[in-house]
Amino acid sequence: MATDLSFEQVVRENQTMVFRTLYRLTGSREHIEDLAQEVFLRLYKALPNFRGESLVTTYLYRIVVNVAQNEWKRRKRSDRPLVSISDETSMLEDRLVHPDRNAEEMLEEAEFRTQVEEQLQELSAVERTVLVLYHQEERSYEQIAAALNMPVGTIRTHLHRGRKKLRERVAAVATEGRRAPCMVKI
Amino acid sequence: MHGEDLTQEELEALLRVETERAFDARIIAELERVPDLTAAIPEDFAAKVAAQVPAKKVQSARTFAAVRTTHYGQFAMWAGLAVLLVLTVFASRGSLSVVSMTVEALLFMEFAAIAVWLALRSWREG
Repeated sequence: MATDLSFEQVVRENQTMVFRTLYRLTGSREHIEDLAQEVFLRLYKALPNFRGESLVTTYLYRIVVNVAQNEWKRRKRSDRPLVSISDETSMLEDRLVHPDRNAEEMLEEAEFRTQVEEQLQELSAVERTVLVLYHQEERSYEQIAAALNMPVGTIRTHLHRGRKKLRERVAAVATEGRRAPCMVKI
Repeated sequence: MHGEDLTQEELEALLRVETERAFDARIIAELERVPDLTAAIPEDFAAKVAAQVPAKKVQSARTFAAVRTTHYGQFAMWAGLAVLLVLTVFASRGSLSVVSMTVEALLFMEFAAIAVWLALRSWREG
């Protein structure tokens, strides 16, 4: 009983991190609860072998990445298009105009957010994972390397390459967006 | 260095660099934005997950019970032990040369080791 209670505590302490990382990695809220459950059940199986809080967190990130990868494969197999984070109704409240800010400014910001999220999903799995763990989760190179079982140098390379690709792609989409109305006019 | 000293080209280059820097900063800020998923997490999520754990354990125990346990390896070990005993007795009846004494000693040690291991194993299994 004591084990179950402490496991429930582990789940409670880490659930927010697991949900938000899965959400950013999969780009959708769809099945997120099932995926999070899978993460914690996998953790439970491995829990007796762990000592120390940091190791559990590192292992938890590894499981989250593996579960997200399985989800990408499953989606690829079923050939279902990804549901954009910004298209989901649950995000509508984020897109509503804030009373203190200019509506146009807010719309532009929402569009930019959408572009970043969409282009993030277009990156390779490892680049996306490294970007999310480094920027969103504020993990160090060493922690990411431990979670992904890769050398630190490789993590740095993926981070640099991922940022560069993301910047280029978002810029390209922004340029296309500016050109599109001109093409309609012609 | 004064602003009026800059040429048009230099100003444009400076502007480009600043624009790129601002663009990078926006992307990084977007990546660093932590999505708020409080509403997406059910209140009883932790309890629900913890409740699944014993259920899974019972399921796996049932699956284990459904598989019939065999002891072929153990029977083979007992048979091998009997053969080893016969060989040890046979070796002790031979000549008293160094070679036969060594073989006999080796066979006896092997017999003793296996006998102890099997006895402990049977005792643990009850």
